[in-house]
Amino acid sequence: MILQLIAGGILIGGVYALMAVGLTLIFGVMRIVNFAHGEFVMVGMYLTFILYASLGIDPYLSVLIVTPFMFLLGWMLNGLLIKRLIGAPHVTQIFVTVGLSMLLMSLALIIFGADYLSVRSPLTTQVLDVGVLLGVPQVIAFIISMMVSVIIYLFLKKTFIGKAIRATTQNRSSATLMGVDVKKIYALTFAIGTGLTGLCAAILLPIYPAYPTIGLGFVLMTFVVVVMGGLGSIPGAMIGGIIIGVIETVSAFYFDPGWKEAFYFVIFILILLIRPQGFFGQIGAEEL
Amino acid sequence: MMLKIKSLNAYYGDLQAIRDVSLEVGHGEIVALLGVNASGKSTTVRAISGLIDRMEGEIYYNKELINDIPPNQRTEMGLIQVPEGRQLFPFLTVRENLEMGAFTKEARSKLNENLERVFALFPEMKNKEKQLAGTMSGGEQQMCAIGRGLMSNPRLIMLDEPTLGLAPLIVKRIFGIIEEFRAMRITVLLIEQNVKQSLKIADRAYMLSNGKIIKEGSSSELMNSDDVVQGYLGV
Repeated sequence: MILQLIAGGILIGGVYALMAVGLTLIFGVMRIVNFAHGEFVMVGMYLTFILYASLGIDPYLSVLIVTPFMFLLGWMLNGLLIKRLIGAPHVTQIFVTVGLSMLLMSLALIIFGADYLSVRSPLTTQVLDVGVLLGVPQVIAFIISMMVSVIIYLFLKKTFIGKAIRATTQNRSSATLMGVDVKKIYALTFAIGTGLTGLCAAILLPIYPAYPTIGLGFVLMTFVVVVMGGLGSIPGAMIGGIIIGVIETVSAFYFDPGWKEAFYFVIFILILLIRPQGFFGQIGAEEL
Repeated sequence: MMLKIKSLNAYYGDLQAIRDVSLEVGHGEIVALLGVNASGKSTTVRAISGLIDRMEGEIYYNKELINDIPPNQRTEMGLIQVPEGRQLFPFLTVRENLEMGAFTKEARSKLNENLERVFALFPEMKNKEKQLAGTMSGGEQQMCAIGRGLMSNPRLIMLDEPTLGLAPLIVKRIFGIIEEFRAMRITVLLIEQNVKQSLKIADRAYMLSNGKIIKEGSSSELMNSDDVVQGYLGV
């Protein structure tokens, strides 16, 4: 049984990891505390639902529509709102992004009501038996998430733009002196982070129903993952996401699903006490 | 004139850091901007790079008024600053720092050529290619910073206190390298507190004090001027 739970936790944790990769990018590069990150997932889930309900597009196909849509939404929101928060005190950032999240939540409630909306992909009910039973949608979600996380990691490590993003994180004015258009880097980072929420949303909808407040749980969880893994660290976010997935699944079974936040906040506090920079964080990096 | 600054005033908030600074740098020259701490030297170069929000006056680069050109585009024009205190990317490797220097299109097309040039000047950078820049000694970091500046394919390089806090042997070496820029056809604006060594390699110099230019002239004139000798050369 415990193996079954751990396997399930790892799979769903993969999606949390990808969500956290987006947030850690935004947090690490722009120093923006984005409390609307979870609501972006929610928006993506509703969009996936609409594409399914009105046009019959399979959620796994709509990844190709929802991800670019959320990327563009991120680019736009950055231009309208987020770029004004760069360098602002965290309190200001929290007010604005919490406000944005409430706005999105209320809009969802007005448009879609409070009902749970779910989709059925032909794959939804299929199960793989590999000693433990694995839901096919969970396996697909895990594989896509891990692949995309690795792609993002390589993008940051190997490409010129990726290096410019890391350089901007470490020293903004030096990056400017290198000829980097820092504002564009910020816009791109926010758009990538938000685009990833769209990807998460599309692969989550066959697993979780969409409802207006689903983002709340996601955002708390992703922040825990980001701090656990180390600010701005992609491998940290990947491992942190999986750990949180396992904690969530195991604690929900042995105690009660309502306890899961309590459990990962205990872990969160322990990590802050033992290793404040997170698993892969660099000491001092948070001060740059 | 490659660089011409007319009546520059620059402010940090309400605080005026430099007053009515005018200076010129000709093609192929090494010009020194000298002065003690807080005399406005760094503010002047930051303004030339476009990093100061509030300023008045005119900055011409190759006869073009560049006041309204954003800093990253000034880099694309070959107007390069090696900032005070190195300002490397500490968690990027030496190699990655150098590559970041070649971020602009033109510099990127000459990346390999410039990388060889940097490794020839600073062989130790080749050996430390894979080391995180933040973990090197001050002298090595300065070499990396100058190397990064060279990677940007500069036409005019502004070096802000490149020898500050370094051991005498490295200071000597860095001054030697700045002299070599002449042969590379790179124009130099050198910001320094080390008046004596700077005047030795510079063609001309300006002395800043309390945000104002108090003296200017050829290096030999300044070297023989009484107040420079008394005030800075400590003879």
